[in-house]
Amino acid sequence: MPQVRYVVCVVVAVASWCMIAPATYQEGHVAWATAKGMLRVAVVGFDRESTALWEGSTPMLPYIGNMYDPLIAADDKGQLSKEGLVTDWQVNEAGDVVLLTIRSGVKFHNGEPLTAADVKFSFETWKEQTGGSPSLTGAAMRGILKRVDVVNDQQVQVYLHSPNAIFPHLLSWVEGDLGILPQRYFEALPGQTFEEKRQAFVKQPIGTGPWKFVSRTVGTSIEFAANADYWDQQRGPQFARLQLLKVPELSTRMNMLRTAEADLVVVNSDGAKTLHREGMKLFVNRNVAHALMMFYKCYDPEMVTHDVRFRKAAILALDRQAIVKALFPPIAPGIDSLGALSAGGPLTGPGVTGYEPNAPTYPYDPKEARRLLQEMGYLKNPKTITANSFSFASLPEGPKFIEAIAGYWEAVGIKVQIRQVDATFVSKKSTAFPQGFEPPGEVGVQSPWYRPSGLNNYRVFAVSKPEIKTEVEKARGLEAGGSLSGHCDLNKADTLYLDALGIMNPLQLATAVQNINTATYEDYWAIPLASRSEPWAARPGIVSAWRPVPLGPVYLRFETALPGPDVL
Amino acid sequence: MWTFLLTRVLQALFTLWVVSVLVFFAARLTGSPDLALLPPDALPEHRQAFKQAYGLDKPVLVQYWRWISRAVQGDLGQGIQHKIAVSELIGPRLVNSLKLATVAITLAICLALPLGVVAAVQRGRLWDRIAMAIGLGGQSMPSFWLALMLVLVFAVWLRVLPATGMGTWKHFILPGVTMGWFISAGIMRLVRSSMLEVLDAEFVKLARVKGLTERSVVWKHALLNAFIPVVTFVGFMFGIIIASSITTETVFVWPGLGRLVFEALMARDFPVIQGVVLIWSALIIVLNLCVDLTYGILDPRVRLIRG
Repeated sequence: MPQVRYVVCVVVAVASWCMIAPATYQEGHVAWATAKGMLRVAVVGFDRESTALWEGSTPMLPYIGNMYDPLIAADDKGQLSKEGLVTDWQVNEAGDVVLLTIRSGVKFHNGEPLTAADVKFSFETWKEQTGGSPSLTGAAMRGILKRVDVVNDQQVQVYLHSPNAIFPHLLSWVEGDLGILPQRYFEALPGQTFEEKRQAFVKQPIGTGPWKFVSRTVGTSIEFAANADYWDQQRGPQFARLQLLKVPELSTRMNMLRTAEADLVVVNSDGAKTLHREGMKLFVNRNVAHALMMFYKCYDPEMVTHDVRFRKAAILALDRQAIVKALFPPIAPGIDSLGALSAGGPLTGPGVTGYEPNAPTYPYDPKEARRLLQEMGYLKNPKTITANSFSFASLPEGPKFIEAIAGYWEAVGIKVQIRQVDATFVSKKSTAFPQGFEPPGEVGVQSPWYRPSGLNNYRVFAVSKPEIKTEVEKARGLEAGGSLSGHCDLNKADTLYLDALGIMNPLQLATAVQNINTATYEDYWAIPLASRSEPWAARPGIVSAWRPVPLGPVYLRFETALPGPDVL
Repeated sequence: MWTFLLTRVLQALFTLWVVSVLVFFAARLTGSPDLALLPPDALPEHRQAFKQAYGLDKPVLVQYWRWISRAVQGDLGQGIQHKIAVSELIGPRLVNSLKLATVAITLAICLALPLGVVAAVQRGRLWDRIAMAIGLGGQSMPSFWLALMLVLVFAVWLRVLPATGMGTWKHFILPGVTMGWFISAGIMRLVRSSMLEVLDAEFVKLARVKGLTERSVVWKHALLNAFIPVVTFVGFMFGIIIASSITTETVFVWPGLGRLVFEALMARDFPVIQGVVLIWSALIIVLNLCVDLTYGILDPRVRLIRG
């Protein structure tokens, strides 16, 4: 009998365990039960490879941005929203104090809650890191941030040196790159100095983002695990793991998709067409970059491009629609061209503040172009313009644009010589003072990032750089702080920019930016070419759906990728 | 022998110093890293602070002295792009490149040696032509195109080999063949011409007269004597193959030195460029020294002259 009782007890125990165990497992791993499989994404490159976000500029976001969150969220079109870590921001009447309210219930990857002290710490880290910290927002913060005060656990007050209408945009990832750092975790790391703690942080970084850092091999890959406690249930990762692979060569990325060595890869128009024919699923990240041609240093009267008649002729000589059509053919039924000719000036486009879809666009008028060149005497004594041919990761078509434009220009009598260079060569010339561009004229195709505020790109591309003091800067005691000094009338550009920067009313600001766009169009200081979209291809069995830019254009997020039927 | 070694080591050190000067100053001609790494709207004071952080604001001779005095102690500095010690960046990449180069050279020798010998023995016949065609194919096909074709056939269509990455022995085959086929053509032609020369030599005729089998005459006596120029070539190519592997590494996503230095060039990451070139040069110098020493093993006459 004792033996029978023993057997019965064992059977009951085993049966009970069989019934209870799965329930216990499911209860403890609710999030993990939904997150499954691994998503392997092949990208072109990683820019700077560090896990400390403040060490890199905006291009580092695709590498490590997955484990961080921006302070202010934006929607797919780049308009700021209150759905992010900051649930509200209030600007005082003078426009120089901003009160930020922080979302409650947000946790870092080590389980500690996000507080206002972390936000202050993040601002200060971005601001104070001088040498070796090339962050875009860091550079801006050093110029405009006076101090940050913690009001309470969920609020901080930010004091600016002067009113700044685009400050909230800099806290999003559409126009900035600031992420939230954990103050207590960072300060508890081994080491005495900031640099020692940085080295420790780089090895074990944490953030508030939807993905937790797992490991990386510099130059090759980085791997993340899903953050089961992510605060935004709408964006909880559905894949358990995420691996980003650095694969610079397009054909290799395409082959990796075919051999199942990658599940999601970035391609180009031709690659997208081919892979679509082979049954791969396509996703398009719309309006990633604009393309515009700049007349470098056209503010210098020595340049032939300083004459508005020359610039107008150079624009009217181009059949821009035909160029865009040739460079960006439709991909497949339902997925049209990846390039679109924007209406209006060169720094605007769909989703940008002040964009007017019905604004006039420059016509193709080679007769008028020749007449203008004749009138200014260019055709009697034609001088050769140097076209710098280079490409950016966001605009690989740059050299093709140059070739097409050179053909149209030659047809109306503008002499061009194409010079193959890399982007750094042009940066060297543009950052020098005086700028290194030489008469009679130099041009190049630039690729501004998508910056919906409208003002930020105007600052980078049009207004005067710090070494050039325009009349309006002297009169107002302010600095426009430009980079490329692209406008051919810098005083006008600075006036328009500084006027708009002080407008805190969103509607009035939109009108001011629209006026800038109109003036930009009428001044012919750059040639608008196209806004470019970026195609991605995926294995349909692995990725069933994907919303690439839930936090604003340009910066891809992979937590929105949904597993397909083949993911186990 | 010791005098020979000492002379070669001193020559090697002088060569390395010349290389270090050339690469240091040439790298700085095309602009500084702030142009490639800072955002376009970085202000002049930010650029200056960036340069200060990496000592790039100092006179170039001071920069050189700082770098070379640390380099001789084994400290190649910190990479600017990724803020990682250069030795940490180069170490694993160098090992990967050496592994791949070894596989490529081995495959090349395995293919070229028998084909070269057969081509020489069967001079003017079908086998000679086949061998020459294989050799010509390897030399005339661009490695980039060959790599893509191999991936298409063996990874995409047949699904027998991986297209990218590293980890298993299978990962070595396609990049190894891509790199190995190119140099096998040179080795094969060299083996063929050396063998043709040696097969006409008196000692080979004597060996045949003495009644040795043809196999023994060809594969033992003739080949060993024809091998000296081949060793020189292989030693030379080993260095070249590591230095010129960028296209193969890019297509196969192989994390080697070629890709590292290409990316460093794009970012104007001076410490990494300098470190990689210095290591490359040292490697090629050591390989050449090894080749010289191998002569002595292969040819007793060389041993006697040096002695």
